[in-house]
Amino acid sequence: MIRRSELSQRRVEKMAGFSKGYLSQLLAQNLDLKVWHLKIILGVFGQSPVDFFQRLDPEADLPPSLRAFEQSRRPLHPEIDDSLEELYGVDPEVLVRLRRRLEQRHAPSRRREPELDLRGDPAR
Amino acid sequence: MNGSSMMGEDLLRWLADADDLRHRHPRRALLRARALRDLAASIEPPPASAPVATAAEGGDAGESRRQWNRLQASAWGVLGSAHRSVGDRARAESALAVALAFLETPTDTRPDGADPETDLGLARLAQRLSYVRCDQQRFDEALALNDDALRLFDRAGDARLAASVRVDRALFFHRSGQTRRAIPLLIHALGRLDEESQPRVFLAAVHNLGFYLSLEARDADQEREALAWLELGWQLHLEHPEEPGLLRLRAVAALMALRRGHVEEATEALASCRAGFAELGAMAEQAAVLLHLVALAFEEGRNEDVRAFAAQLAPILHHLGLPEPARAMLRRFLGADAWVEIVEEIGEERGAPEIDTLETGTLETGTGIVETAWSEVGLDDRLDVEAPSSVPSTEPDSGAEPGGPRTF
Repeated sequence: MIRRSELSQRRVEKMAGFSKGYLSQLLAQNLDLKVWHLKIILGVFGQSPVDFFQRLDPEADLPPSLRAFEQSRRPLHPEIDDSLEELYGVDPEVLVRLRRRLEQRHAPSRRREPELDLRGDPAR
Repeated sequence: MNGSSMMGEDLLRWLADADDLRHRHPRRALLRARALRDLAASIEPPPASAPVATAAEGGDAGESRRQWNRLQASAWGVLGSAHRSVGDRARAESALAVALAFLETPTDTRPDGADPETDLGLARLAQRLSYVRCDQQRFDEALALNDDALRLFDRAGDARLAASVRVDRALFFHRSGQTRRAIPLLIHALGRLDEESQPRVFLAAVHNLGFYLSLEARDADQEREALAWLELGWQLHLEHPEEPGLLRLRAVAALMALRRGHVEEATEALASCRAGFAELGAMAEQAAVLLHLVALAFEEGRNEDVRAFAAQLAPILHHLGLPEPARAMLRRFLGADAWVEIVEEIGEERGAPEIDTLETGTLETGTGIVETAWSEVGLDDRLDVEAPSSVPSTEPDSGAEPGGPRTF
């Protein structure tokens, strides 16, 4: 999001009220990312956390009927399943991504949750 | 333009041809769709170390990757519909699930979520899936998919494809036993369709309107109206001759002759249609005609014919994923457990679901078996024509891809 914006990283840092270098430390994962960090950074771009997380969810923009199909469909036919390995196995990245999508969408109860530290706002 | 981009454009055209072929020769269409799916997969994907992030940035690499994904989705979509056209619903459903996994949702591709090409891809897939769900008699899901396809085509600004979705909707109403609701929908759609640019969708709407009116006709005037539409359908079929369409029309005419008491003529015509559908690999249509033939033979007490038709029908029902009526037919009319075993073996080899234990108590009489098969299969009315609308082609009737030429 920062890269796509017209703002420099330093500018975002300033607008968020962070000290110099703080944002770099966060992005480099030298500091734990907290919910309050995210709220402040999203605030710089005028976005709500709900919108942000919806965009991370690969199912968020699927039309309801297609989402329902994913959740009600039968497991892949064995022949189709095998053919995925044969056809895309030479490119593990493609195969892994495809399988991940097929599994995530097929299992409604296993929705991916964002991995964040949700311990609340510490004193800044 | 590099080699893979040229192949991508050729492939899209070939896929459109294969998709179109299933309306003329389902079995050949399946063979071609499978080969094209393999060919599409053999195109090396553009590198994308972080696919989602790269795509979201909208750069060249992301665009190439999106197009590669869309090509894979198209190939799997065409394959899914081809499997469906030969009655293989299990493989159809799976192939379409893979197609959906390849399609990127708007948030993957554009930060603002607006992407007409993605909308079109999702709409076409929803349309393909709606037919599978209709075949499975899951009509609520079929109509929900139809709703979304219509909304997405509208949003993408494709009025021609939106009109074809309305013809689909009428077909779903008819197949769910609500033929009366299908008729006004078709009349409404016919007012919006352009015969010049959408001849085959127009043909489908006219044929189906004539067919549905013939089923609903309660007096001579209504029957005359149905015949007038069927005659117009006949003219359109002659202008765009395709064997399955002509066979369907002939079967409808046979059923009307049957209602007028011309049993021998109708039986002969239906038998001829069955042979034609068998030649094309159109399993569901073949089963529809066989159901009429076995019912006729049963009513007339022609026991040898009943056995012969049942022997043809049972393996088809099993192929269509309907083992219970298949088994009932084999047991009751042929009295042979050996047949059941053979069909089970064939089914296992094809990866079809195993035949479950039959509750014979519910199927006491021959009439009961035929009626049960009829209602479970939902095939007796598979003589309407599907609108050829989801074809990714530049042909006027089949929906052009917007957004300029595709490259890789």
